[in-house]
Amino acid sequence: MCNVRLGILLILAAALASRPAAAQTIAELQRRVEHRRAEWLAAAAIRDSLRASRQIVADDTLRIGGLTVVGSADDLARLHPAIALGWERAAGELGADTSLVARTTIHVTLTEQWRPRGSATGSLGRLLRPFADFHGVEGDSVHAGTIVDVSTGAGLGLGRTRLPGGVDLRLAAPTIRNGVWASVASLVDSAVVGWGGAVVPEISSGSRRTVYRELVTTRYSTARECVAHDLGACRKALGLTATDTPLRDWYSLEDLAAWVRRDRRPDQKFFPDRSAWYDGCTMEQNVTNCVQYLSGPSLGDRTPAPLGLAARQLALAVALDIGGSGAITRLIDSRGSVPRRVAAAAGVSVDSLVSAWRAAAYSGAGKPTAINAASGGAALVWFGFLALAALGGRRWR
Amino acid sequence: MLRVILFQQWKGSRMLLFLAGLTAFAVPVVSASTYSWRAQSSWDPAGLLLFGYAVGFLYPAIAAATGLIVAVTAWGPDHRGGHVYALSLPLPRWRYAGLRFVAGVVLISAPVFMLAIGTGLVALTAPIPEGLTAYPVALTARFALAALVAYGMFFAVAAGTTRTAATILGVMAGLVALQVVLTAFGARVNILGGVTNALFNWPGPFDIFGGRWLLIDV
Repeated sequence: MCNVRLGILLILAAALASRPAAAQTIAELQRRVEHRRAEWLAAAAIRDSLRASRQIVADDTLRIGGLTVVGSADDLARLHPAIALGWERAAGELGADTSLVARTTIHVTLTEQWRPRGSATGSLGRLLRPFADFHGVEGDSVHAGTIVDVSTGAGLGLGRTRLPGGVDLRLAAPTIRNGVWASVASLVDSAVVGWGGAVVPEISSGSRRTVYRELVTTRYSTARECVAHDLGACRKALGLTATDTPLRDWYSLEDLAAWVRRDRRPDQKFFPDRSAWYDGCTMEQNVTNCVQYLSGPSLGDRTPAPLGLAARQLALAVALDIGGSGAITRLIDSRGSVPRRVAAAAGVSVDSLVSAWRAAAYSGAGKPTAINAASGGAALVWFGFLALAALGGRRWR
Repeated sequence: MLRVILFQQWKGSRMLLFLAGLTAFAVPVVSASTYSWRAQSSWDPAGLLLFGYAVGFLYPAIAAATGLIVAVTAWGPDHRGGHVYALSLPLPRWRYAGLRFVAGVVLISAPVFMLAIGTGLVALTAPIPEGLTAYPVALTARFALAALVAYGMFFAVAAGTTRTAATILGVMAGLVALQVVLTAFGARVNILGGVTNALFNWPGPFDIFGGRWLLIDV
């Protein structure tokens, strides 16, 4: 009997247990999930809104002349004199091109740097330090300086300097000035940048020397003809001729063959075409084969000019220098091929520009490195001093 | 008197001087010949400069060796003989040392002359690419000055007493030891770097040895 009752109870319990509770139906659970999801989305929206608000509140905008600088209120307050000085310098250099600055915004950030107190440097120091580490408190650190970062809103770095003793006006101002220049340079499109690199405020004498050295030691015949006063060859060497076949126009057959020869001959089994072009170029001196070979994966879609970036960058700088005030604006706003645009920026013909570039490159010739007067004079003085020291002794042994 | 001392120093150093002179002559000639041979297969002026850099260190090395050879052989007989010969002469020390010094300077002119012939030969005969220039006079002058500075330094040390030489060596060893200790204790002080900079940068005595030594340059 007891078993019968027990059985009935079990059946009843199973029936009740198998029936879902009112709050546990699929529909109810889905409704709850949707509700939670909506709540989560609302919370996330509030969080994002708060974050954005905080950022807006934290960032401040400083306008000096046409320059707009974004950064935290504290950073801008500390950097204000440096920004003013940097802007003054940049504006003086940019002239009429300062109006371009209005098209950009620069962001500044100050970051404090700390380093452990008494940290050893050098491999020997690191090796011996465990045995000699008797001072300093573990974890103690000292202020190592401040980093000023200038960037675009997109995070592209425009300049970065370490200021060892806090915000030093003399060190920070050039970074701001370089940042202004870089922000203007960022407005130049990729065709010009691809040819002549970034627009820079000045070309150092070291760069001119590099260009001159490259010009007189180049292995490419067009560049060598440029050395021999052929302005047409200079244009080709700089890639300042609008052409659809740059390999044929800028390089001689010997140059192309030498270029191809620098590669190993492709395996005929795997690369039958390329190996045939290789042979045709290097053995039969077939210019078409040279172009076919080099136009493949070696070059991609851009043929480099015979002279390197430093030479082309000097040409761009010379163009902007000749063009004077407003040259960068003309460069940015002009349309057409790169030679045409660079000439438009300079306001002269391409041949005049190339001639000026050649003179600028030759100004980097400098003096022979074999000896200079200062070293020679110092050597003579030391020789005399050592002679006097040798003669001045009194003891024989 | 000078002639006697010169002859004596010449006898003591002629073999080593001959070797130094031969090397000074050979370095520009052999390097230019090697480049000319290479230039027959490919025109590469940049390669010429790189080759010049590669062999350029030999010039200051030969200059220093010449100075050392002449200075050491100048005082060698005196040190071996206990300076008896010098003390027997009716000359003050400064004058005797001066004669030895001048004799050494005359002997140094031999390798310098050999280098002048070698560099001059290269400048006149080597196929120098347009835009590059040979500087035989400048290189020879620099070599001569470097050899004289090295000679002056070694001569001064050799002319001094043993105590002087020991003091110089002791100061050098002391600086090295001090640098090791300071580095070990984490001090950011670079004594050796400062000393090296002072010696090898203008207006230091060895500034003439630094930099590029190129016979053919842009």
